This record gives sequence, C-alpha cells and structure tokens, in this order.
Amino acid sequence: MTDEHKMLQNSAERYLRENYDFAARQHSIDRGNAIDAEHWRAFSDMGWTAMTIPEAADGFGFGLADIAPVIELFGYYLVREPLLESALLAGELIAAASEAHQTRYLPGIIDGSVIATVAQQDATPLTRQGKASGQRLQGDLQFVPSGGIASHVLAPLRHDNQPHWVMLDLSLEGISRERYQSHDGRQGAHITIDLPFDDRCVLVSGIQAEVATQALYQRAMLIGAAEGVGIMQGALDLTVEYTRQREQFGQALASFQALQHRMADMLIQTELARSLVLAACHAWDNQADNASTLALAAKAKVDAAARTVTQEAIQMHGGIATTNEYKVGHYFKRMALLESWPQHRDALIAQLIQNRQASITP
Amino acid sequence: MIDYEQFRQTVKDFLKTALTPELQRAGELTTSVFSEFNAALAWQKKLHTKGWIAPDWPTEFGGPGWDIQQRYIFQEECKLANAPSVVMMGIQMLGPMLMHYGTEEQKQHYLPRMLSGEHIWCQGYSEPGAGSDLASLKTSAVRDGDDYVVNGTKIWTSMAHHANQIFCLVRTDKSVKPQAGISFLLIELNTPGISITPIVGLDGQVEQCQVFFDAVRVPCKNLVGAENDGWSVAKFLLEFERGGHNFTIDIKKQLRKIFRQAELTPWGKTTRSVDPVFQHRLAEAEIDAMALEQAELRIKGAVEAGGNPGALSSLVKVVGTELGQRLNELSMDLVGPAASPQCPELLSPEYGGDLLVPEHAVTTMAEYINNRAATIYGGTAEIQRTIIAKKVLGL
Repeated sequence: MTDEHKMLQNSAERYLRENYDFAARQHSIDRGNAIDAEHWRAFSDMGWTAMTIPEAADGFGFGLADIAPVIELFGYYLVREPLLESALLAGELIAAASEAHQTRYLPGIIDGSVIATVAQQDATPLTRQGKASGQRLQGDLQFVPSGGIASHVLAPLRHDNQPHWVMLDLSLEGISRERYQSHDGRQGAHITIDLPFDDRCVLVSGIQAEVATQALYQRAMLIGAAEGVGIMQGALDLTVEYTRQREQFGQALASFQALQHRMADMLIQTELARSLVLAACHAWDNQADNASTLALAAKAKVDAAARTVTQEAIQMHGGIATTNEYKVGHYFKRMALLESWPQHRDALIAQLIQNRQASITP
Repeated sequence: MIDYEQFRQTVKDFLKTALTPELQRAGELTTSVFSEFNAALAWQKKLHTKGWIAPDWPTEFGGPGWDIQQRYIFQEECKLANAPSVVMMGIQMLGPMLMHYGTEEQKQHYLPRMLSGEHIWCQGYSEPGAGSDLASLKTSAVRDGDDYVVNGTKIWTSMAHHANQIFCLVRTDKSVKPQAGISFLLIELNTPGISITPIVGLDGQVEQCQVFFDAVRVPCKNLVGAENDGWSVAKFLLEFERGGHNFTIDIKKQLRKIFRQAELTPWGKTTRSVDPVFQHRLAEAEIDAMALEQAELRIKGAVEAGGNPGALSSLVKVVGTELGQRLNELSMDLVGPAASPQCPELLSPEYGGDLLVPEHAVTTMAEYINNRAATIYGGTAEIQRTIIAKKVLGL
C-alpha cells in the first residue's frame, strides 16, 4: 500500500467517523431520503468516486487491493449511498467500453451526477423485439439494488444469440420503476423497460460482453465481500464495547469466559475472511490464474462468516439489539441482503466446484 | 377411551367454519409470536364462545377438559390451518399462576376476563438494567395505607400498547438479598402515572414497549402471593412460558413452508426442491426436528405422570428456538433478493395491492429478523444453558 492509498483510507475514515453518524442516517431514512445528498456530494468532492476509474479517464486507477480497507469502511459505517455499485462496479464496465461511452458516462460517475447500478447476476436479459426498422428494447429487472435512486442501470441484453451490455438512462420514456424501501436502508426497485431500441445504449457486445459479465460479477463479489468484512468488524467492535460496559450479575458481561470465547471466535472469523478477501483482490488486480476461484471463495466465506458474526453480535447484546434505534441489528440486516448479491452463496460454491473440476480434468 | 382421530376431525370442522379467510390471512402473515392484534382478539373471541380458548386450563376455571394429546392436536390443527396466535401472556402465563397463587377474589375477578379478552395482559419483568439478571430489578413498590406506590420502568413489554393490564415484578424490600425482596403485582394500565413508549423493532414494526411508572398507586389486594415472595411466583410463571409451548408444532409448520418455497424457487434448470445441496441441509434440520419432537413427547409423558418439566423445559427452549432460527436461514437461502423490500403494508391482512415479491416470500425476512429474539426472550439461550449446567449437571 502506498502513501497515496493510506492517505485516502485515512481521509475516508475521518470523514465517515466524523460525519456519517448512525442516528443521522436513521433520521434521513425516516424522512424518506433515498440517499443523503450532502454525503453523496462529499464522496465525489473527496475523489472517492474516482478511486478505481482509469487514469486516462481522469480517475486514480487504484486496484481493489489498494482500496479494500476503504470498501471495508463502507460496511463499517453502514454507508447506504450506492457509491460502490456506481463508481467501483458500473464504472469498471463503462471503462471497458469504447472511448465515446467513457466520455459520455465517466465524468458523470466521477462528479456524482450519474448514479449507476447493476442488474442481479441471474437477471433475465433484455430482448430486442420487432422489425429491424422499429425495434423495441424490452424486459424486467427485478430487485435492482439501489434501483430506486439510480439515474442509470447496467443491464444484460441477449440478441441474435449474442450477449450485450446496455446502459440505460432511467428517466427515459418507456422505463418505469416500482420503488421500495429495503431492509438495509436503501431504495431498491423493479424496473420495467419497453422503449424504442437505440444502439447507442450498447456498451459492449459478443466476446467482449461475455468477458465483461464475468469480470463485473466477480468484481461485485469482491466489493461485496470487502464490505462484509467491514460489517463483521463493526459488529464485533460494538459487541466488545457493549459487553464491557453492560453489567449483569454484578459484573461486566465481557468478564464471562463463555462470552469471551465467542467474541474471540468472531475475531477469528473476521480476520480469516479479511485475509481471503485481500488475497482475492490482489489476484484480481494482477489478473492471476486463480482470481476467479479466489473471488468466489472470498464472497462465499464472507457470507457464511458474517451471517454468524452478526447473529452472535445480536445475541450477545440481548434485547437492545432487536430495536431499530440501535446500530448492531442493522449490520445483521445489511448482511442478510448482501448474502444474495450478486448471487447466493450456494451458486458461488457450485461455480467454485466447477472451476476446480475443470482445472483437474486432463 | 378418547377417539383422537374423531377429535381431530371435530377440530378441523370447527376451523373450517370459524377461521375466516381474513383471520387465516392474518395467521399466514404472522412474522413473530404475535399476530396482528385485531385478528388475534377476534380469534380469541371465537374460541371463547366455543369454550376452547384455554385448552390447558382445568374445567372449573373454563378449560375444555382435554388431555395432553387432545391439546396437542388442537394446537397443531390451529397452527397448520394458519389461525392467528392468541396473545399468550394472560391465558398461557398469568392464568395458571393465579390458579396456584391467587386469592379467591383474584381468581374470580381476573380469570373470566382473561378468557373473554376483556383483559389483555402484558408482562412487566425486564428492566433496562435487569435483563438476564432479572433479580437485580429496581422498580419499587412502597406501602402507603391500602396501596403500594410504584416507581420505575419496565422494558420489552410485548403488546403493552394494546394491553390494559400488566403483571409486574417489583422490589418491596431493598435490605435483603435481591431474590428475597421481590413481590408480584397486578396493575391496571390506565392507572394515573403510567406512560407507555412503543419501541420500533428491527423489522420496522412495534411489538415491544417501555412502560414507565411515576408514583402509581396500586391497591394492596393486587398483590399475588405473599409480599417478598414474588420470585417463586415469577419462576413458576416462567416455567409455563418456557415449558407450556410446543415447539414441534411451529417447526413442522416452518418445514412445511420451506418444502413449498423450495418447489417454487428456480435452481438452474430445476428447482431447489431437487437440489441435493439444499435438500441435504434441510434434511439435517429435519432430523433435529424429529429428535426435538421425541424429546417434547418424553417431557409431556413425565408431566402427565405427575412430574415437573423443571430444567428440561430449558433444553426444549434452547433446541426449539435455535432450530427455528436455522429454518429461518434456510428460508432466506431460498428467497434470495426477494428478502429486500421492507414494506410493512405487505404484511397487513387488509392489504390487497401488488406484493412486490413472490407470495411465499412475503414474510421471510421479517421472520428471520424477529426470530432472533427467540433466543433472547423468556430467558436467553445462555441463561437456559446455565440452568442446565447447574440444575442437571450440578456444576
């Protein structure tokens, strides 16, 4: 990690610690704000939206391993603005498209005027229907994360037996959204698309799209996994802090060995997961042969470990953790949803097994 | 000899007519131990009219006179038919205790009103500073003429926002060891000086409250048991909270729902109902469910023979609640991103609009969230294990 990365991490840590207050976050949700505009502006002012955008497109070009600690902070502070989806995920796919597309979208991603999100990995691809002259782009995207606040969505399209990726402006006529509040304080949506097809929306096609799909969702796994590590750390820290000050039977809960061992297990799981996620990010950045396997393993590991860790955090807090006002349960809820993004752990493990079998078949 | 199959049919026939689609819907949409309040009350009134509201009570107090197996059949049929849950703090918890410790006057006043739903009870045990360490409770009751004057606060009082009565553990003697200075009081919630603050749960809904007592005057005749003997009264009641419940029935219902969810969840070219990986995990949980059922039956056998479930009720509580949570996780594994929407209106029995998610997935996330409390309320899983270690193993 260079000084540059360390500086970014420190400033992100400072900003979130000083400004991303949990009570204020809840208050903003209660008022119906899908995101906090002030934070969103600050994120781009501080350059976070440009972290992984290539230098040629005015970004910093950092690798995922460089910024994994920053992604963890998003989990740790329960950041609900979709910066990771927009800048780190969608931004990467746009950066793989033509220069025209990059020029069209990346400045908006960096300055925050474009909020992009991505369809679920098992989304049914959009289709092109009708005669060549007046074709329509059609389809339904279910449970699009942060789809309620996004300005654009990246969606798969299947046409002529070829995969494509399209970037759609959600304000276009012919696109409708059914928005919903989601359990992690965000605003999701079902998006219905039925509009005249315009080929300028196609970012990548054919082989390039196939590669992009793989890369996009592996990256989603890595980003989600790093966020999950931050969630585990946050849940553990709160538990340690709470059990130190909460007294029952005339002593601090933290003085009971039965609970100490369980908190030690939480730390073990958090560090194991963190180790694997960091290694997977390095492998990704270096395009190592095992990058795909490590990405699958890292996300699957985080999903299982963070489920246990966040459940344990609630259990050791007791009643207080079951209230909406208290923070620790929100780690649990965010993780519960992150578990099926971009796909469920069982699907990741199935893919991992396939990778292994393919590698040992002569 | 009782013909149990005929009895089951009688229950089924009753449910067929009494359990309206609206009540059934409320049962289906139940995401915790409590159903939507109005539906629960409406169902209580129907059962009361039929004489079936308190299956566990002796006939002299209004019970139907069923044996253990009939009660089990009744509970099972109600649960599987999606009947709403009746608010249990009165009939299931306070009632049996009053029959044992209450004065004649208390029994005559409270028991019939409990059955009819005129009195809705909540439980004032925990305090902000007294959770697992219940005996450290501080809410005080000081005698003043024919009244006690109560000051302090109770927390995690489920349904206090719908209740009109509360039973409370209060401190009546500060000079003795904690368990020895506690008394058990019955208090009307509309007494001056009581205020109730709802607590929003993690699922965004209100089920719990905090109740505040500021110089609340309670007639001394509302004391249950002897003054300063509240701890034994409370323990008696807690064993009913833990032991009076048939976890197996809840588990069976959850399993049945998961089978259906698995059939409706696509997996590659098939569904999760034929995915060996998922089915293996599910079967492991089923095996534990079978073991739990047999353990519950053994305990029931012992109780029928005149024994006390004692520490075994702790065993069943640990296994029943933790297995329930495992099943919630299996459901979560099935519904995937359909767990995301947090839309309380979807869980209202009156809602008739678009569901946003597949019908079978509507309650899954809220159940997953709410059921985390199952290993906390009624004595945490940690407290139950301590009871087992001390009482059974003698450690």
